[in-house]
Amino acid sequence: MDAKGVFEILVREHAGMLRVYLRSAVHDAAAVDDLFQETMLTAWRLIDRFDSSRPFGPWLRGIAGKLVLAWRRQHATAPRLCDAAALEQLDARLSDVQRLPGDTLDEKLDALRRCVAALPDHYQATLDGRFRDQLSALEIAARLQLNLETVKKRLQRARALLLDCMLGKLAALEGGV
Amino acid sequence: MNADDSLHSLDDLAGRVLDEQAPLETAAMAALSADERRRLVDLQWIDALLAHGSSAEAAAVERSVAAVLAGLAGAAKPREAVIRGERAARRRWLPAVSLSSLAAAALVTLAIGVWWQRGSQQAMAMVERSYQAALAPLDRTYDVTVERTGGSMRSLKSTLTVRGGDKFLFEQRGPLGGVYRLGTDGHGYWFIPPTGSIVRAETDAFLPAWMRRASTDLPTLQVSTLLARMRDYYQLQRLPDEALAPGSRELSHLRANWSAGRPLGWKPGRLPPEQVELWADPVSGVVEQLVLTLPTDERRRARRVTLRLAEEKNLDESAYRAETYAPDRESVMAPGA
Repeated sequence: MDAKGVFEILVREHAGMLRVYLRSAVHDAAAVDDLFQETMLTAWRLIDRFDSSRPFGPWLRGIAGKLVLAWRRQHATAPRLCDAAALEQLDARLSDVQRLPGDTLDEKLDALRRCVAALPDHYQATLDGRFRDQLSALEIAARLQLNLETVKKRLQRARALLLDCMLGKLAALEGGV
Repeated sequence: MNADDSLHSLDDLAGRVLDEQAPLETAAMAALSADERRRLVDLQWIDALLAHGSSAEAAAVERSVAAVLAGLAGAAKPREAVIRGERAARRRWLPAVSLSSLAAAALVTLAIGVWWQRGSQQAMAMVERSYQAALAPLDRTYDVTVERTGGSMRSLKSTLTVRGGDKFLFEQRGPLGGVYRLGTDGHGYWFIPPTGSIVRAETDAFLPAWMRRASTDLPTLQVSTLLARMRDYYQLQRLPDEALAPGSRELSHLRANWSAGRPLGWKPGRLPPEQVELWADPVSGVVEQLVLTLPTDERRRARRVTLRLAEEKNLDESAYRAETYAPDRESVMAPGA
């Protein structure tokens, strides 16, 4: 297989994880698309410098992180915390995710799906509206016949519960549980 | 404030940031403790993981991968250039480009060429190629024809000149002969009515109102923006190559239908075209013709918009500045701008 063929496999294998990294740091969907493409094409240009004895994901995120910081300098009031420390933390979190059981990111995210399934039904319905159906809080409120503040609180609470759950699963992994 | 209060306050801030896209103000960020910053980043991470599970994001991943694979063909040249620059600096007595690099670039080009012809991703690759071509710093002028509904069947004709993704000039002659011009030099936006002051704004928020004053209504004034929207939000269908006129060369041809889902980033109240047909040069990707079918909307009377490439040239930067067309008029900022 030629270099391009190998790189194509790497692109496909790491696409999901890279997009999660970028989406964690950048809210604008078009900017995420642009940064994704720029990261991959930069990686292709620099592929000679990649140490193949090391994992590809962190190297890719290292490139992406530099591009995000450059983007951030032009969008100082963007609605995400994405300074160098934040990017380092996100990189560590995704390295943790990488250690979860499963071959693909989707399989690894079974842990998150189990956390979601453990939430009360009304939280799940709110999350479905926000993430599956891509509705705004106002639209979710209309669908579920709730007031807007209740929807906002449910989203906040659900996210906080899922964070606790995921950190618990990662800690258990660390402890060999 | 106790630890629980702090937690709730931080979660509340995260909710505003993640659900309402409220900007993070410098003062608010500076007030966060290290633990609070870590929690906010963790909540951003959870939010992104949740978003990853949606079907829309799954489609976005596929589109992103397809865009990268299409872009690899264009990346081959910079790669050669980088290698040439670095090695020339370090080891000037060696050939600038290694045979393996050339072979790899040739293989990539060949692979992309073969892939371009192949089934399901042909249409995506075509749009991506056209998008990259639209970003080139060349000036392309399109003749624009707007067919209207709602009692007036008279077509409006105008021209749209674009350079890359950041400059445009739209010109339309009014019924009494006066010319309306809208444009941007990539820094600010401006509108020149047939008489009166030049109106300026720092953002594109006033373009819809200015276009209404010019009695036209285009969903976008940037070909590159339209192509990016097609790539991201439309279902693409490759059609047989087609010539636009008898005897002329055949062009790549595709149809894009608005796919279900929210038009993220599209201006509220301005529905995107429900269908776009694209004809492009099969080699360069340059857009030769676009036909936009707009949804029926009582606020919008345009139904079909055709952009046809009239000429490609190199214009001076001044072509995108308002003072070029109205040197003696004063400028005013748009109200509220």
